[in-house]
Amino acid sequence: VTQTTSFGAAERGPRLDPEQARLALEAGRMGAWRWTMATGEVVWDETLEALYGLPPGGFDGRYETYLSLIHPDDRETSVRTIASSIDGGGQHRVEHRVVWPDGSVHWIEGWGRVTRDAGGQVDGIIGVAVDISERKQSEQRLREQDAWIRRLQGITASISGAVSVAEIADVVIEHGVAATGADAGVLALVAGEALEIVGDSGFRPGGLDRWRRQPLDAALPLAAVSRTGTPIWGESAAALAERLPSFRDASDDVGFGLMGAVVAVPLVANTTPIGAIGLRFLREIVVSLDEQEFLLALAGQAAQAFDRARLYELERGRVGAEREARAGAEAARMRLQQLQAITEAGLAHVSLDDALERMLAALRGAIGADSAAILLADGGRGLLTVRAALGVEGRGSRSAHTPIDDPVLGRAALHGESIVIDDAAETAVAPHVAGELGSLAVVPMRVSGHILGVLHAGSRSVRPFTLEDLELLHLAAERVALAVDRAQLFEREHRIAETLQRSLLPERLPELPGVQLAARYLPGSAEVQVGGDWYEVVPLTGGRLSAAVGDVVGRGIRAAAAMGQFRNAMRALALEGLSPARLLDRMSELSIGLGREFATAMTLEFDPSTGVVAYSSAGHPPALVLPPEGEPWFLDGGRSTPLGVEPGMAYPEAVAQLAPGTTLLVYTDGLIERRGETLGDGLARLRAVAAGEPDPERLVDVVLEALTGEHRDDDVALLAIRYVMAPSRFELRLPSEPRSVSRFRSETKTWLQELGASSTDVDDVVLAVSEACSNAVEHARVDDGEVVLAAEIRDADVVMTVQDAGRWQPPHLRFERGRGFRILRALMDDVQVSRRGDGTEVRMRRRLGDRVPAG
Amino acid sequence: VSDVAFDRREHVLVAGVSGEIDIASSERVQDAILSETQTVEESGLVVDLSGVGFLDSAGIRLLFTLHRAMLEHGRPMAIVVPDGAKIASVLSIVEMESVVWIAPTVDGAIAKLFPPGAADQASSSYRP
Repeated sequence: VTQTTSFGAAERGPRLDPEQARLALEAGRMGAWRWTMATGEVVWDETLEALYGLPPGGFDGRYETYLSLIHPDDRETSVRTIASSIDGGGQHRVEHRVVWPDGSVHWIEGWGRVTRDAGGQVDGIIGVAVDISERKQSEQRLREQDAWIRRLQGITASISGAVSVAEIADVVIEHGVAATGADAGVLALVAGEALEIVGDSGFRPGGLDRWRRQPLDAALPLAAVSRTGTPIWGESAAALAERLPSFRDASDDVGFGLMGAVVAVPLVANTTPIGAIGLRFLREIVVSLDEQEFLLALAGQAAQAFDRARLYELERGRVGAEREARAGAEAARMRLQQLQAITEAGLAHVSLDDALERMLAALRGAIGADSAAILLADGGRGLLTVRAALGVEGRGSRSAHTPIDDPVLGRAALHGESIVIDDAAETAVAPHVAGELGSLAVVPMRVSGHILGVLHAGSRSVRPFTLEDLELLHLAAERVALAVDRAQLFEREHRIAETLQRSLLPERLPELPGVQLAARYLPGSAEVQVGGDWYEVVPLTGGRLSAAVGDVVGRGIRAAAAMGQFRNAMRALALEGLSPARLLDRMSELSIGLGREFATAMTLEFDPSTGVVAYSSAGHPPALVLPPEGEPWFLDGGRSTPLGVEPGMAYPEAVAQLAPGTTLLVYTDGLIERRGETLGDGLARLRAVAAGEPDPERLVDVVLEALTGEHRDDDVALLAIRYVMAPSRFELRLPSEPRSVSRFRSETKTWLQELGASSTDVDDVVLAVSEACSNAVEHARVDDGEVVLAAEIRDADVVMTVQDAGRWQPPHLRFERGRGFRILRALMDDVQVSRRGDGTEVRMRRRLGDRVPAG
Repeated sequence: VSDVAFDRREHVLVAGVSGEIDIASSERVQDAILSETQTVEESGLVVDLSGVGFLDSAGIRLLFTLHRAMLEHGRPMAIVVPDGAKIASVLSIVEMESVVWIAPTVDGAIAKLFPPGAADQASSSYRP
């Protein structure tokens, strides 16, 4: 053999092993080579040369040339792997990069085996190779995407833990900078006509001070992005300065000289930009699509969190103002004994209306007035509305309105002036304000510089109010304003916390074969802030489910946020396959991590194929078991201390066997606790109320109706799980005649409904059964024939077969060509029609649950 | 399992079907409606499916047959399917809306057959 460089397929074919030739032919892009030990000769075909970036005949047959083409980092491994096939198993497989003469890098996968002479001695190696660059790239891309998704999940967790605007800004900037390799980051929020920087990292200390508040229409990147909602993806600093002139002015402050490129992404809440994240890079960059997606998702998360936090801080600010003013009230009490009564009346734990009336009564006594009234401003409607009044006929009506620009009241309500009218008859006071009064005084009610309304006092006789009276009126107005504001604040905070909590609870429960589920969450009544009750159901493999009900002790937004963390953790851990007790172990650690957020929880895992429930309780009230027959009982094993009490807890787990038809009710203590009662009383009452209500939806409603009054002290969460009686498979044989079809439908419907399938699933599967059975009846009718329907649940799939004993149909009559089959195909995930025995068998399968209804 | 009740509204025969339409009942419903159309002067047909809780391909076939029969006599046809009706999904699978007028109410269906203002023209041109 003298040929050394290359072999084309035609004339050099015989030199290729037949198998090798076939592979090469099939693959098209597969190159082949042969090394002959005796001569040291290496022969490549043209395809292999092409894979290495060489022209046909470009390989010189030298081993050194081959080596030089392999990426330096991969040389040693590949050579060793190929060589080892001589001593080892005789085969090798190798992946390595090659560097083409033009410098580009390509991935090659090669495999080969040794050849042997007649005596069985190794005399060479043959091999083939393909270009796998594309596959490598997509693998790399998948890995990258995965990393981005993980990163985003981490961020979701840390953002949900941040409460204030500053905390959220820090988290967002930190993640944005870390993920993109930026050297500095800044976050700004729209505040009216301005843009305010609320967090930054990596900038020169004090560098951003001049820009901390900039007009929204400024020609600066963050303002532009917040205004337009259009992101900036890695635009160079120079190009930006061209487009946004003010940016160059800011150059020293923001490090323009060292800046390479800028990324700025709008924070969009409900389609409105509410601010922007800016990232500074020292070099020019290209922002990949993955990075863009990540940053948009980060911005979306941030926008939501800010929306929430803003409300929260607004409220906190008001609470602070209240505290200050209350301190002022203490001083005033020293000066003016009378005021005490007013203040106390306002701070009493009674409804706002009662408090206001008591305050007015105290005020009236203190200044010797005949009438006193509180009017609240409704800026939107331009009206002052009487909220509380004493003394003057007709003034007590809650519906009495005065235009906010009234010459007397308006001066107080709009301009904050205090007005004293000594003799109403001699002054131009509108009759509806003066009424029967001789003298009157009006002062504004302010909170944090904002005028809520006016306080109005009058006497029937002409009796000028003194300066001291006026001072007292002012002080009273301050207290009244606080009481009103506090009540409004309370309502708002309650609403925010409730919204937050609802947003943290599952939107809907999963649909699982073999179980029916129902859950409710009821916030505490208006006098009580929202607590941190939660529930969660997670479907597991094999039709099992993991469920939890928990209660974070404490009230308000912080408790609701903590409960969100517990719920997320439970979900993630349950999906990892943790048992109920191990779930509690980990949630207890989480609780300690959250600053010993004191919480109780009950976790359970239920397997509908066996009826076994495993459960564990961390200081939580025991779940109620309602068996189909006999007395209700409680799952009172597996109990231990609440979460977060001590580190390293190992919670116990108990197991119970449930009979088909049993319903479990898991709940929080708000359902059973009442003041002045023992826990035993509450449990006994629950047992009595729940008995005889196995249907989960009805059970939760009946129990809530009976056990929670108008004024709940606590919020309530409850979850009912019914182990339904329906068998996981059924079979029905009916005569092959038209009227059998409706029977097939109704039996299928009953079976699916008992399994807890959704109405969409039931309707669609019933329609499919109708089509398949009609086909069997119509096209395969033989005397005394039968149609057999067999249905079965496998995991979350319903699998059905419909068989007839008719004759196999000639092709033009076949079911597959008809409209019925088209309908069937639209309804089921998989449909197969086959010949079986004398007749036809239709097999069909559909995944239950999580489907958007058609139409 | 199924019934048909007839009503006459201006130019239109309204056939109100109730119950379940499948292989066992479709032929009877079809015969009832077809024979009624032959005895009346009305120029259009509205099949009101408001009372139909179930309908499969046998029902679809019935509707197509009626539609073809009406077409041969130059008489328009519409069907009534209330919003959110269970049978809406099967009708959409076979794209019924591309063949026959569909309206959520009888009045709506009549308006589709004879748009207001074109009533006189409609009655004269459609009458056999």
